[in-house]
Amino acid sequence: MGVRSRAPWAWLGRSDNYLKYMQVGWLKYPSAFKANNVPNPNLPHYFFQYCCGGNWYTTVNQNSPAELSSHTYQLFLEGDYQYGTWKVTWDGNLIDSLPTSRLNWKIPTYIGYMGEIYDDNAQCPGSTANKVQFSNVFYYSRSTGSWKQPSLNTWWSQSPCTLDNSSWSNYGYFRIWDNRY
Amino acid sequence: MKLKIGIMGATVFLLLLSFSYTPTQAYPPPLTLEILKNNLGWQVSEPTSPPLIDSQKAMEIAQEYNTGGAKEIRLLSVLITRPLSWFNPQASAADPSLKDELVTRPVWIISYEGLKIRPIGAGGPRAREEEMAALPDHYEGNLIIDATTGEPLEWFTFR
Repeated sequence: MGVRSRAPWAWLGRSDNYLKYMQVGWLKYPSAFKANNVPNPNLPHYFFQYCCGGNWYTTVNQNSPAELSSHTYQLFLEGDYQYGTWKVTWDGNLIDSLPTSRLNWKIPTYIGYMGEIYDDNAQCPGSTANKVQFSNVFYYSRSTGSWKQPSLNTWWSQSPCTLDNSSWSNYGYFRIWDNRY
Repeated sequence: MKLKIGIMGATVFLLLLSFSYTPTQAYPPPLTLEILKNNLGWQVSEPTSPPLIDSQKAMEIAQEYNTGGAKEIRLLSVLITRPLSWFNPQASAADPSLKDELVTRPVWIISYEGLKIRPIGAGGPRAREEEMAALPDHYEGNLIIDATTGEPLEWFTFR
């Protein structure tokens, strides 16, 4: 995974304000981790972040995903949008619970899943030899009572991330990587 | 001319004020059970017995992880209730039926004051500059360590 900063994640939030969201995934950011007193700053760590329009909250778990491993991330609501609790899991492990009262938004209207970097020198998640693959991306529609595949919003992709979405419509997965590595 | 002198006078006065005033950095109030419950919705309670890792040892561990050079370090001893998978994902992976089992264990919450924590990744790649600028920096990072083993469990920031 190298030492450069990057993060792939899954995201739920509002399409009318990108600062109203929650996201879970793994994050690697050695310089910021070191400056912020996060132990083991050179390792990637599972993280969860939410943002309520004005302030923000981030938690960085001390567990790390292994090289060349696959993981499942989930954001789901127990109860209703007004009084329920959002649950955050990786690989089925509950890492955070978020009462809806902690957010100043209630109903998510947008689903995101991609990777990102924090500066031009960072490495996009994935390399030419080992691409990051996003698969089995589904959301549950409460209105229809069924699971659905979200549309792939390629505009999340940012340079220098390379995106291969040719298998999305037929096979339900896409890949990203940094072709400089 | 009178006006000009007046403005210069005010400028000199303000400069004098700024030189004579020595600001002290204001840290947020120390974490309490109430803050953790009310601000984060956490399930926490007062410890019922002294933790194996005492406050002196906890402070040594806190210093060890102070790579960012926090100016002040605070300690809070609490009992925290979380799923077993949060404490030990390996154990719950071996027996998935344990994943959601709630356990209560003693932890230390180490608060590092005086850090400057940018809202990394907030808003994702789609957030506009002006939206990002509206988000405050945080000046407190918190590290949860197991009060029995001393192992770090999780880091968080919210203020």
